[in-house]
Amino acid sequence: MASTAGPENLDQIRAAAMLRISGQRVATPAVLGGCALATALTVALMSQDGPRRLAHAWLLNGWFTLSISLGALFFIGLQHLVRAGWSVTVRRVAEVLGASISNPLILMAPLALLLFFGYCGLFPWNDGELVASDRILQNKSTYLNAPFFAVRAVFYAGTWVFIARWYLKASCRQDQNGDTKTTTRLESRSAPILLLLGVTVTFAAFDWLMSLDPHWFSTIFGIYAFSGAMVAGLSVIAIIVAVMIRRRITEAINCEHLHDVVKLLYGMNCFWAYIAFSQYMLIWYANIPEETVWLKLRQEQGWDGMQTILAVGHFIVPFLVLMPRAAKRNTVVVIAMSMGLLAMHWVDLYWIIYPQFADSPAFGLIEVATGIGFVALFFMLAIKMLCSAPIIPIRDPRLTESVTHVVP
Amino acid sequence: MSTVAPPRPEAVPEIEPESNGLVASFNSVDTVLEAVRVLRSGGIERIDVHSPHPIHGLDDALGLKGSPLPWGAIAGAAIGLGSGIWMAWWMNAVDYPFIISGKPLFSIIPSLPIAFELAILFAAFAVFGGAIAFGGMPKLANQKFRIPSFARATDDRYVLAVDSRDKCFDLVGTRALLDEVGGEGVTDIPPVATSEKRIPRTVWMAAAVLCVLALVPAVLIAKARNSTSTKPRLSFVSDMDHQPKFKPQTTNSFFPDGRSMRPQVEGTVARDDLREDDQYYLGRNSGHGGLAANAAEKDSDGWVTAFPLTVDESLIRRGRERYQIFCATCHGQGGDGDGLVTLRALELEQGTWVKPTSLHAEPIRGQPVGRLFNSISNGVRKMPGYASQIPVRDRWGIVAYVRALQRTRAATSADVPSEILPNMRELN
Repeated sequence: MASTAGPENLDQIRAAAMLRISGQRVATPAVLGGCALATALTVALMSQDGPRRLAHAWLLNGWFTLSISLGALFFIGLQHLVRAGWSVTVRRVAEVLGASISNPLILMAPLALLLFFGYCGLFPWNDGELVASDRILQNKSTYLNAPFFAVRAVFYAGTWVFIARWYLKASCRQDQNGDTKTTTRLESRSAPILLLLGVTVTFAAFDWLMSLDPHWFSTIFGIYAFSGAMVAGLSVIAIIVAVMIRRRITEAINCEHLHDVVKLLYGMNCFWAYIAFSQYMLIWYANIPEETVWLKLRQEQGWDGMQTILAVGHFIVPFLVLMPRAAKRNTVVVIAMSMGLLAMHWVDLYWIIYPQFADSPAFGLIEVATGIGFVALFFMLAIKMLCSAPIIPIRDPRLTESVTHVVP
Repeated sequence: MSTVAPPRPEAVPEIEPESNGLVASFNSVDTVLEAVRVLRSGGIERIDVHSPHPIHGLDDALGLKGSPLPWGAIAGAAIGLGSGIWMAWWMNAVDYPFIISGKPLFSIIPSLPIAFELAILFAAFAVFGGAIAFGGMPKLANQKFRIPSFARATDDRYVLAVDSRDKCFDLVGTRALLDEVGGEGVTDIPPVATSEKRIPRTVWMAAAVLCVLALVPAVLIAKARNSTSTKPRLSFVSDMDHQPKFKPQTTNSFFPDGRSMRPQVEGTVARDDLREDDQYYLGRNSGHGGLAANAAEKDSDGWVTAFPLTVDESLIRRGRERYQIFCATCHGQGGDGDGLVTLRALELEQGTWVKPTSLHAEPIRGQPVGRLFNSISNGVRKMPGYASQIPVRDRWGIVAYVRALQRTRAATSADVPSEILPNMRELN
């Protein structure tokens, strides 16, 4: 509408986006991540219950980084599906985050491999003796067994990697040839892709998180994991966008885009609270032992405190702080709240995973080192890819609309 | 006022009744925004822009401050949240305290959904009412509608209006300024005639009549509530209130025996549900169909003394499972009448609770299996019948298990399998 972004201005923006961020810092996170993981491994092998704790920390931080990618993939699919114009300039960030999914997946592969060596410290259903004495586990063993688990895991991972790489590659190819058919193809295929993502994330959450307690079940658990992933993915996108605005990296990404990203983040965070509460209330109300056992474990021995932290930190504080328009457009507030939400997402996963083996909340070098390792290696890949492509999709047909986007 | 008024240097108070302000049309967003800036730099603040679509940056150009409506929304939400929780607490814990599934009378968890819904509802009310109030509605007419060119503000023109009540408004000067910034068709907003400011007498009359009529139902209801009547109540749907049908357990003069419920015709056979075997389905020998007149007769009422089906291990196992599901809550796992419900009722000193007889008491031990089966099926004293919940075969399974339980209390070492016997220890 406003005629401020004429073609010559757009060309300038394109030229500026082509100037790649210097990619010299990739080595630092790689070395840092490798050292951190090696430290965690060493510390874990030295103590008696260390390996089991490391396996849980590994799963926790694996899913944590994985969910950032999954959230970004959902974001891309959603933007294509609704043919959004505003989000074109921030889409490259999401594409890069999505394509970084291969790193946590590769790092998590040993957890699945260990199952074939009979390791049951993480997933009790892999314990043959336990299954033999437990009728419920016997009935579930057609689904919960090492080979089928591995097949499913490979399927999820393959699907995600394929989708993520396809999105990034198609978008980057368009940077060169400017083919508008690419956009139509991305849009039409995003509908089945979102369906596929929905199914795989749901079942991955069942397999990798819910089956930690093989007796327990909750049909809403998949959506719970999905909403958490959306919060994580959008938080990281918001942080990167805010940092780009502060560093004035490109005028194609400004407060208007940040505002809309944070609106989505705000909505998805409310959705997380809604789902988390729904799961809790239904279990509370039905009061059936086979369902309450999972929550009972998480309301004793100090885990109950984490529940309160999640209710306040994951929902109430961001809900009130990010409510005003001005807060959503303020880079400092957005960075602080997104960092907080990422921390809360980590606590959420910790609260899901750790009570299965730890008597009370334990936090030490193993968790910190594994966390640093996964996050560093994840962002190493993301930074590397972000440096090797223009930071916005420069030939997208809706680029003008996005550059001139103004939140009403 | 279609002609330009002649310049009147000292005439500002006299102009006021003649004009409510000025409107001018613009044909692009940029020109109307520019006009707003020029007017505001000239000190004029009471400006309004009518546009067919929202214009980015117009709020800033007009110097509009943020609306207080969001605060109304959040206040409405807070009131809704509070009243939802209060309502749940008052209804469940104060007005009608009723324990459901052993849950506390009031808990925040089930109150949240209703509190959430009310928060949204009240926020919506606040926004709806606030939008109407801040918009100055209801407004019966607007003088600008009398200007023909104003209609294009809903189509292809941006119409700028300046209110004459502005401190810096000056009919001639402002008109010149509007012409200068490119306004087309600069027109006076006609003043409201004094006669038009009054609400017509007919409207007042109609309102008064409506107010009086509105009292009529209230008066009638009040009269009906505070007086008695010997007449039957009004029946608005009489064929629904009085249906030509026979109700169960009532007399009816149509039939010679005076019963409205008809007994089955001799020789009636139940479809799909033929239960000829009385021993199996009723636990008594055929020919003893009637109810026993007294307890003594009941004992010799033809109860079957032997199981009418093969008793094997699977039946007893099934019986044990059913017993533990249906019976053990009151009778106890061992049949001593010490189930959790019983213990809880005794602890609460519930006067209406009858402690179940121990299944090991001599009268029960002596009862024939058919009698036990009948007690399970139809209940005894305060115990309800379980025929609708437990299938026939399972009821016999429970009888078999009860017999097994009874036998445990009278067992001797001869009853114990010989390979287990060495592991057992003598009790005094």
